[in-house]
Amino acid sequence: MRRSLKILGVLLPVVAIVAGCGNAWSPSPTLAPNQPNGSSPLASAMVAMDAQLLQTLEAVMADPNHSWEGRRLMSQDFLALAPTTASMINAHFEAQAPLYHLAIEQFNALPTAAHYNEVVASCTQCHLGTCPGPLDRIAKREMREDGA
Amino acid sequence: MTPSFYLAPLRFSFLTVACLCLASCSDSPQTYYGAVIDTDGALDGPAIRMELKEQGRAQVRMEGEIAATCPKKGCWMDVVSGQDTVFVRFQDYGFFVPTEGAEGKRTIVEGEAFYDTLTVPMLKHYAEDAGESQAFIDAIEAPELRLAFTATGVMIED
Repeated sequence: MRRSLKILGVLLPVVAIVAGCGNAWSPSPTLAPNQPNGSSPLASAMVAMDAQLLQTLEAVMADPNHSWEGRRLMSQDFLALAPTTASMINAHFEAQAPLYHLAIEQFNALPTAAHYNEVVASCTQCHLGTCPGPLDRIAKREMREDGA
Repeated sequence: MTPSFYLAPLRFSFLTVACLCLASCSDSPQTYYGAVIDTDGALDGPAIRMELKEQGRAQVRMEGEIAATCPKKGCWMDVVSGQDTVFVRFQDYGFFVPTEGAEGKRTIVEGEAFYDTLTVPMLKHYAEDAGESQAFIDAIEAPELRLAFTATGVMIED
């Protein structure tokens, strides 16, 4: 009987640790979603716009002739969409949003690298006076002369 | 047959269980943002300043306590590390941290440390984000050189 108790004495800690604390010993890390706080309609539209710019840029770069012919950008009415917080809508935003639409119309009428960069510049100009957070990201959407 | 004699190994084993469980279960849950990062070898603010003496920018891991996060979108956080309060932003605006409830929690961030000059408009914007009073925002008149960090991954301990 003493032998059985000894074996039990060895097994119990192992069982208890594996059953009760196994997660702490082999933790599976929790990776949160990129935006854990939810996204407003305005923020989601801007994320979609960013994805569209990246897609266009990559398509042009992948084209052997780096051709802009036939490229189009969808425009979103940023002024009609609800922002993350009301303070994000200021006079600067209201003045810049129509310029962004004009830049897209200009690009769609004549898709060129210069007109594409004007769309990107309109994003930069707007964010300089509203939320500077994504400026570095926007800068990476520019089509540079060296093709980078 | 003395029962207490036979039960002695069991008592020992229960003590062992209790100690091991306390030790192994004391790890706090960790949530990662942007990427799951290695949390070993994290430096504090003063150690990062030493690294930056050698070169202007340094790829490091930094450990500290969260003083504040952007309450609007979660796009930045202030991390107290040693004597420094480091302004942490997230690479390419590509991920965010909780807008509330992170204050006081231990964090490890991985990415690039550098000195950054925050312009007056930026300082005003971040002050507005942080819910500072209009008088506080109006009083910002000079740019500020701060220890800053662009994180590619963040761990927050709950």
